[in-house]
Amino acid sequence: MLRIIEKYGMLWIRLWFGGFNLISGLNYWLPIFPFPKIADPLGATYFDVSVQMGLFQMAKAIEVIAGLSLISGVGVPLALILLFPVTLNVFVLDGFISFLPHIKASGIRNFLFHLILLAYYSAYYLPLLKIWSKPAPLWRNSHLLKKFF
Amino acid sequence: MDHLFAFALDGKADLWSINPLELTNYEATGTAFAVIGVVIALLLDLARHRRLTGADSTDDVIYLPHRLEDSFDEASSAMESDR
Repeated sequence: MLRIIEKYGMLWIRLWFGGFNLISGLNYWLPIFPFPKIADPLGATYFDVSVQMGLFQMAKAIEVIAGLSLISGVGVPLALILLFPVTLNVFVLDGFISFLPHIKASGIRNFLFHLILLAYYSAYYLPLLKIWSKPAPLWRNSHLLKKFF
Repeated sequence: MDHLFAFALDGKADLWSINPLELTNYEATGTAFAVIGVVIALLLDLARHRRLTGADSTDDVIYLPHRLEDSFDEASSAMESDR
């Protein structure tokens, strides 16, 4: 029973998170829904500056790519890494800067979903936690790429 | 406090409410993807008579060397023997 809940529960989280990010990114390039207005002045300033620097557009492109990856189930571990800076930014802005309860909950929930997915795919990241590590240059181990693709 | 869990089916998201049924457009889209995906997965698993459980362990799902250094040591010795 727990395995069933785990399997379909995690599927739900992955698809929900993927769908959210996909539509959030797509909506910037193809306006489907009205673009959300940012209520707090600090968040609005951050938005204006990030648009002018091109960071917002980059984040939206990452959301589209990662959203497609999460929905299709292709390249999920890499997508979770690429998307983490975006989720972290949203967590800080929505969770701490915004004053609207729904927005706060949304930022915190998305961050939690991201952490849960990272834990669910942990086997792909655990080698990164190795404290003492020998260098393993790609140019001497390129044959290992075959094992991972 | 009452308003924190308020819910109304009015086509608008109440941003002062943290009720999970109050969905913004993005959240509604995510919910739609999740519902459709889980339903399809359930139906496919039932149709293929697949066990409705997750993988027993990660090792069943992916390849992982037991000790990553072993693979690199093998590679280094293979490279040196090629020379």
